[in-house]
Amino acid sequence: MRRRQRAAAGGGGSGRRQAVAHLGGLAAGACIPLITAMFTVSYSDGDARSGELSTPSGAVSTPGLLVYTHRGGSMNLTPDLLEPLRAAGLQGLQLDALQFLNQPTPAVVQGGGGGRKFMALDGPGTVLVATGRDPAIYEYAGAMRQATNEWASVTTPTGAATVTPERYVEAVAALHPDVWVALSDDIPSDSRTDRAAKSVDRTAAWLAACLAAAAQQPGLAAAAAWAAVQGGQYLHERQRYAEAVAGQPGVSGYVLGGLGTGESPEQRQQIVQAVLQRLPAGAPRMLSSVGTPEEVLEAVAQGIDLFDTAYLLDVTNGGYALAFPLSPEADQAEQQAQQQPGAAAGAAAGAAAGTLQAAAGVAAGEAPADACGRDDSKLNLWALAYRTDKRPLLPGCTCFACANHTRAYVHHLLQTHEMTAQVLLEVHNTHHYLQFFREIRTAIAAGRFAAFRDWFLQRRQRWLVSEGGEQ
Amino acid sequence: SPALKFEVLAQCGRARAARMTLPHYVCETPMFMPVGTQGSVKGLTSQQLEELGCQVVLGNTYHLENRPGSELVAEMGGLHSFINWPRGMLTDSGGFQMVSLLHLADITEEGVTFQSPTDGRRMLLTPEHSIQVQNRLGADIIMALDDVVPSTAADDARFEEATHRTTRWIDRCIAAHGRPTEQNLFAIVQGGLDERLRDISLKGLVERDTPGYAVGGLAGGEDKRSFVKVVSQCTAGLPDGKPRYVMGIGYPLDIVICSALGADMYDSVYPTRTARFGVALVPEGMLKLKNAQFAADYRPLDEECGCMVCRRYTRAFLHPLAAKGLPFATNLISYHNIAYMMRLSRQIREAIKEQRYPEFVREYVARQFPAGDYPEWVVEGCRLAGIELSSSGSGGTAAADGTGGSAAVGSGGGVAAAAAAAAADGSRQGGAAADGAG
Ligand SMILES: [Zn+2]
Ligand SMILES: [Zn+2]
Repeated sequence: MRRRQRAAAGGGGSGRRQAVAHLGGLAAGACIPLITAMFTVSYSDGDARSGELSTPSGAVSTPGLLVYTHRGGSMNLTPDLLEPLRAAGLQGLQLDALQFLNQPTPAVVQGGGGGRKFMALDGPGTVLVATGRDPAIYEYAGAMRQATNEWASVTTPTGAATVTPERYVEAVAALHPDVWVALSDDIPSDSRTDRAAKSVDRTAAWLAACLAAAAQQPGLAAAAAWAAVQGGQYLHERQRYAEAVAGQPGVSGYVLGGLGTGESPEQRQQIVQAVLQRLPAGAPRMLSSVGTPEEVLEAVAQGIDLFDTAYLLDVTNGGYALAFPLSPEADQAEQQAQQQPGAAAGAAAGAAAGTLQAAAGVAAGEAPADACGRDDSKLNLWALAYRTDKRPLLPGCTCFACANHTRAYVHHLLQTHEMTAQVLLEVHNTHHYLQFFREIRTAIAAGRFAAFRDWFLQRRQRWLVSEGGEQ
Repeated sequence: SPALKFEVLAQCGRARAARMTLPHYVCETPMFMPVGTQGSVKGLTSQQLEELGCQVVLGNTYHLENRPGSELVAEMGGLHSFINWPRGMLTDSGGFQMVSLLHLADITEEGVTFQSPTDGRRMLLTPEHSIQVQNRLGADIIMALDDVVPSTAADDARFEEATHRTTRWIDRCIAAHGRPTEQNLFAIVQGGLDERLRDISLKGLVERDTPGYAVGGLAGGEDKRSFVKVVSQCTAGLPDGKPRYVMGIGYPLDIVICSALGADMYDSVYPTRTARFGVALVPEGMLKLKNAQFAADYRPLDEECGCMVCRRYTRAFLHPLAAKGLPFATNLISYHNIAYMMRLSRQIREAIKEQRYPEFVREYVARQFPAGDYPEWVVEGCRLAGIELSSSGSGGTAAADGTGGSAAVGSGGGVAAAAAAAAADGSRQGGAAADGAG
């Protein structure tokens, strides 16, 4: 049953509420009170929990999505399009600090007033989390990243580079993040035992080196340091590290690293469980580079609080619009609408699609218009079914793209390789996914997360055995 | 014309500022019109264009008829509704793209014969067909099908034929026009670089009394002295009470000079195309953001610009992103470049209304050529407009540079050459974008 609990897990220092005020740029040499991110769990529901990560720049409600950025910007969205997504729940951004080793260099970023100002992310209310991994770049076993005890070889936007803990912290500090994740020896899940053991030893040594380097950086005085847990697929290695790092002074949160690299869902579940058992219950836990709706639900059920993922990037680049219902009620309404053949929207789209399917050589009149252009969770806007579809990407969605444009227009933009297609899709997909996280939080607060999760997973099963099964 | 009202608000020398009332919007001229070739201005939303103060957006008939097709656009409520753009729209005839894109295009009295790019069939674009398609698209301004000959083609007989044929075709366009109370058909003056032929074309078309006129056959790589002469001749020969549109013009300096000669409307893919090469437009010319000199330059793109991009970002931030051609950076630079063109248009209008256009031109030119090495065509254009440029001795030696903004802050001719090629064809954006990203 639901129980309420409050557990502050600040990394020491004065974790008072008024510390949540916006600090803006930190003047070098100024006397800065030590304020670290505060994590508060407000609701628990099974192992799932909902709370808030408060930082000097703002707060992120958990479970929460850290929206992916690439070199300081969203992939396609100019600030005027990103800003309104706050209302949809955009609270935090993920930055890969490795993208700021070379171009631009930390000195350039620092010279521009620090990352927050340099990247025009200095408005109040956006929490920046700097990590050492770009969730859009998977490094599988074949391209396993090399490392020695002194440095890691990493992929940056300008090519391969080697990075030491000190150089990494320099890049992190220039960003002026609210939270930063220490450099780790991130290895794919199919790495061999000895490699995994080495990774754990190095990651522990690098964490200490990062914390020492960070102590010299005024830009990180108010930032929370989190540790990345490595160890590949080996539970004993994962636990060895988790035990070593749990409660380490200066560390106030944890990231499960090295996942999303080809491990099975069962393997991942075991790893997450093994690690979480060994970490302090009140500390925030982030899962890095994993984030489809099903993966999010599974991880939330285990007690994960934050996600960074390139899922929306993949969806958008594929020409998809997320379209899964956000609640069982919405799902039911949708099903009823589809079962009534006379439903206005469906009929109109069906009629239009009839002629167009014929034109495209598809037998007309067999499937509902949507069937050839969607799966259980998203629409494929490349599909000819949307050629004359005047509906928004997702009826009822209040995002900028849905408020202003039709599926037909987005379909046309894709067909003609116009970049505005990705702009509109990224707006919608980000909006929709933030709503999804909001629904997850609501379900946890109401003590019905298990039902929410079961509904979502069953919905997919139902879809697979019915209309979409043959695809 | 029932669908267009053109009121000259102020005249300053040959330059004029006017208010043009279209079915969807009341515009102020001189104005620059961004090109949304296939229903979007590269990477920007219709709402951003509105925010930027764009008044008219172009659509390319040839591309829109290929995809999604004018019948589908009509079914979707017309181009305005399809792309959700509430203000003015203009579509071209489709002939220019056909001739410039399809090598097999062949022009006869009947129309433009070409091979379909999709199935290879022989197809024919007639004046009637072009107007029908544009009637279905539903833009505020539609363009007559003209017999396009590149201005650099050498055959006099061909120019002569094209001039007369364009006049014959305008009658067929007028006859075919099905929505004259909702859409304005503009005739296009042809005649190459030949004064006599331009004169013949002007006379013939002015007699037809269309709601507005365009000067065609330019922006195709001709020498710029001939260009300003032709513009000057055409603006002088066209009626005062009707809009004059110089097609395919997008270099800021060209717009300043053409406006001095009494032109009102311009269009080009240049501001968005050049953004994909990492080039930002500024009063001094252009910034080639890929250049290493901007790596730690914390100024905005343009210190006088108040656009969203200039308010938030520095050259140093955009430099590495532009170097990689990231969509995020391209969209930001496009946004600024359109803002720049809109600001320039506004400054031109204000200077005309305040009777200080000659001063404006002198300042503008001096800023782009601080050494005073004004290109000959600029000097000539100003002379024709009755504007004295304070010459600085080297005025006679032309910089022989066809591009506006040769006083580029960056260096290297690659971008300028690419941009010139870009302006020559108003359309082939996809391929060049890929080049730009490389
Ligand atoms: Zn939406
Ligand atoms: Zn600007």
